[in-house]
Parts: sequence; C-alpha cells; structure tokens
Amino acid sequence: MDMIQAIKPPGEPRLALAALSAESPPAGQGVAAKTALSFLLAATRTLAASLDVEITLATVARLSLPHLGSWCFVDLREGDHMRRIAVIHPDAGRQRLAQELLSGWPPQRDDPLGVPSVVRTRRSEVVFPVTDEMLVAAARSPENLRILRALEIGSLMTVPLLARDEVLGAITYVIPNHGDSFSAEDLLLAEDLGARCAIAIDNARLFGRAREALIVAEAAQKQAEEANLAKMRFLSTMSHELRTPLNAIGGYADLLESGVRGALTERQLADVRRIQVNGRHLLGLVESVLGYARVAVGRVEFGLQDVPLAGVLLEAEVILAPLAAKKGIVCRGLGPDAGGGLLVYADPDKLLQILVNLVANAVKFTPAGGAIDVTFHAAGPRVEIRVADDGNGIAPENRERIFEPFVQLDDRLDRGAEGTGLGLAISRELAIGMGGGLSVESEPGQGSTFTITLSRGRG
Amino acid sequence: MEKTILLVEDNEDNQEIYRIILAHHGFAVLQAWDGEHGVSMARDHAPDLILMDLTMPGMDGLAATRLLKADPATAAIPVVALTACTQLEDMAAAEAAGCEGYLTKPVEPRRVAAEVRRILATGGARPAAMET
Repeated sequence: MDMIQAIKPPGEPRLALAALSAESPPAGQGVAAKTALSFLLAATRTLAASLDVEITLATVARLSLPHLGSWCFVDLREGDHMRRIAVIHPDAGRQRLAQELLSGWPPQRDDPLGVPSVVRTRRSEVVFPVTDEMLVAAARSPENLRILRALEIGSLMTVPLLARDEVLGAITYVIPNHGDSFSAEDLLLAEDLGARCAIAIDNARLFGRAREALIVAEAAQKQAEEANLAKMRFLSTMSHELRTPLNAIGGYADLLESGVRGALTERQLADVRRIQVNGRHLLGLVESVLGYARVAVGRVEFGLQDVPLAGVLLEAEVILAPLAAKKGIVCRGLGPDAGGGLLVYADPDKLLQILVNLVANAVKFTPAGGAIDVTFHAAGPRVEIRVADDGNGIAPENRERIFEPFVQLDDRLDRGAEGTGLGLAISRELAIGMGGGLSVESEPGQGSTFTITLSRGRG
Repeated sequence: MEKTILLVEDNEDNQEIYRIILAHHGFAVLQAWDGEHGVSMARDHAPDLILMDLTMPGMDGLAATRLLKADPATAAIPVVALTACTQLEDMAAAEAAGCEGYLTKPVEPRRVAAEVRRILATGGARPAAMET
C-alpha cells in the first residue's frame, strides 16, 4: 500500500487557512503540491489542537473539501462495527439526502466495496466510474436506490485511518458524476491526511486512557492515605484504652508485691510476679503494635545523619552483652573496638533499635554455648552490617514470612517480653525508612545471617 | 510536716492505687474526679502538689492545669501529669500547659511516690528532661 508514513510534527510553520479557500482548484484536476502541503499543515494543526476525536475529524474532513472531493463522510471503527460520525456536504439539501441515505445504509462487514472492504484490506480504494449497476447492487431498497441516484455519485475514494498497524476508521470522498475521477495526488494527500487523523485519534485515546488511569490512581492514593490516618487514630485510641486497665492491673499487683497491703507468702508473691510479668508482656505488645503502625504508615520521623558505626556498636554491646552472657553465648563484633572509623548515613536510635532486635533474636535462637558475629562491610556507597548466628537456620519458604507482622515460626517458643512477632517487621520498615533494607540468608541447620544495608556517610 | 497531694483522676482503680501508695509513703491525699473539681479543690485546699490525669470527661487535665497556672493563688503548685498518652506531642502539650512533671501510665506506684518526692524536694523546678 502506498501510505505516506513520514508524518511531519505538528505546529511547525504558521500557515494561513487561505490555502483552503474557495479559490483552490477543485478535486479531480489534481491539487498543486504547494496547496497540498499547506492543507496538510492546516489539518495537522487542527488535529494537534484538540483531543475531541469526533469534532476534530469532522473539522478536518470539512477543511479537506473541496480539495479532495465534493463531499465526504467519516466512519470510526468501534469494535466489530463501524459508526458513521460525520457526513459533510457543502450543499445543505444534498447533505440532508446523504445523511438520510447513509443512516439507512450502515456499512456491512462483508460489503464487497467501500468502507468495510478498506477496513478489511487496509488499502485505499478508488471507484470510477460509479455505474448505475453498482448503485442497484448496493441499494437495499427502492427508496435507497432513489436517494443513491439523486446523490449523483460519479467517483468514490475511501482511505483508511491507520495508526500503529490498526485501522481506526475511514474517510470516503465523493466526486459527482459530472466531474473527473480522483488523481494520484488526491489519493496520496488523502492517505497522508488519513494517517495524520489516525495518529491524532490514537493519541487522544491514549491520553484519555492515561488520564483515566491517573484519576483512578490519585483517588486510590487519597483513599489509602485516609485509611492510613483512620488506622492511626484507631490505634492511638486503642493504645490509650488498653493502657488504662493495664495500668490498674499492674498497679494493684505492684501494691500487693510491695507489701503495702500486708506481707505475702512466697507462693502468693510468686503468683503476683507472674501477673506483673504478663502485664508487662501485654503492655509490650500494645506498644509494639502502635510502634509498628507508626512506622508502617510513615508517621515516624528519621533524623538521618552521618553516624560513626563504632558508637552504635558500643551502645549495642552495653544493652546486649548481659543478655548473651546469661545464655552462655559469645557475641563478637560489638563493643568499644568495633566499627572502625566507618560512618553510616542513618538515624542512630533507629539503627540501634534494629541492631538490638537482630542480636536479641539471634540470642533467642542460638543454643547455649553458640556464637553470634556482628560484622560490617563497606562496598562503594553502601554499607552492610551483618548479624550471623549459628542457630537452627530458617527454611527457604519462611525467609520472607519472618518479616511479616506477627509471624513467629515456632509457636512453642517461650516468648519473652520482646516476643511480639513484630521485631523484624519493624526493623525492616525502619531500615527502609533510612533508605536501606534488611534481608536474610539462611540454610536450615547452618545458622542465619541478617544483613542491614545502609548508605555510607559522606564524612 | 505532712505534705498534701491532690490526686485528680477519673478512673476509680487508679484513684485507689495512687491514694494507697501515697498514703503509704506518708502523704495526705485529696481526691478529685475531673478537671473542674480538681481546680476548685486546689483553690480551697492549696495542696503541695497535684497529680493530674490528662484524659478525663468534662474539663480535661490540660485545661485544668492552664487554669491553675493562670491563677496567682494556685500557679506555684507543681502539677505532675499522669497519663496513658505516650506520644511526644502529648508530652509537649503537657509542658505547654505548665506541668512540672510527666508520668506515663502504666507507672509503678512506687515511681509515682518517688517522682512526687523528687519534685517536692526541688521546689517544683522542671526536670532536665523537660527543658528545651
């Protein structure tokens, strides 16, 4: 097919619409090259100016008269069938006739000629001369035939609206039977115009889809933010409501324990202490849930700065050494000599929180007499801090699950006050909040290594 | 001489717990169950210190504290906020209202007694942690 595919960008040289005035040579006598170019530029501007496909197509079709024909009609493809969106005839009487005819004569998919055939073959089609036999064959009723004859059709030219290999519709030009047929230049110009129209339609549709998608996405985001706020308010209220009775439970237990109400027996004291331990555990849960919620909905502020890793490792040791010692576990890589001179870009409190959580976890899952190694490694702009234990390891299917809230792999484990199942979820959110991450490598029976990734400090 | 503590708290359990522990530590305890009642009790009895719950029906602890601090007759009485609100912004609000201390529930009763003693000893000076 001789489609002209090279499309000039819209809005280039300014061009007077005078090129489209009545003085232009009528179709059938060939259109001067300069006029053709001028017309294409005007049409292109019109196409680029609007995103309303149907109005734009009708406008362009109107502009193309009488250069490309005495009158014309435009069809758009909608799924399997065609819809006639415009019939343009400079003569009002004929326009009415044409419209009457065409509305009672919608193109059928298997029509041997005309729009359906052009859509099917993707090729332009010129029919000349249009004979009375053709009209008789095409007409679907005597009334139909009467109108067809009255329209005095001499020659037909249908060009596809082809974009991205898809036929979006067609424009059909008509020359009355007292004129000549279409010239080769007319066909080229009409095909070029068809391609431009098709690209404009395609763009408008893409734009429309993109805009709809954007609106949907924005609405979804707004909804998510509102939902987050509502969650946050709910959790704050919950936290307060839960703390009040917890306060009373703990308070009365403390009163009993302190002997204010009189001396307790050993057994009574042991029971009271169990109430206290469980009360504190419950309080720990409430605080963890709220803490996780605050991180997860982005309500935690990070004081990011260059932090000497040594300082954080020292603080971690102060907190963790007694914990490890109590279980007879060696914990290497923490303490005053750790960290070298390395700077990480982090919030020091949050980094400490992650580190304490990871090491405390490792202590929990490492058998007595085992070892935990904290190491670090600077690679380019990133710093990795690793916490490795020689515990039981984690099965592959559980390696991501452990970062989900409230997942504890072994429910038989004796849960301490920290055993809320939120530690790793919070730690990962915190690491992400500092522009880093938290991941795990593990083989069952070979221990686990948790890796905190952070940016290196700039110094 | 025995010091008098005004305990403003709407929750009966908490009233009871703090009353017992304060009495156990040798304080005389007055009780009020909401902000308005607390303010009038403070005016009538001029206690040495007020333990103020922040979340109460009717006039809350912050409003009551602001009233007390605006009244020359009661402005000098130290107020210790006692609350289950743990957010930083709650603490800031308590400080802005004029509280000299801040205890977060649940709090061990003996810590309440200790904080009361500490503030009475410093004459109501703000603890370092609350200074900006």
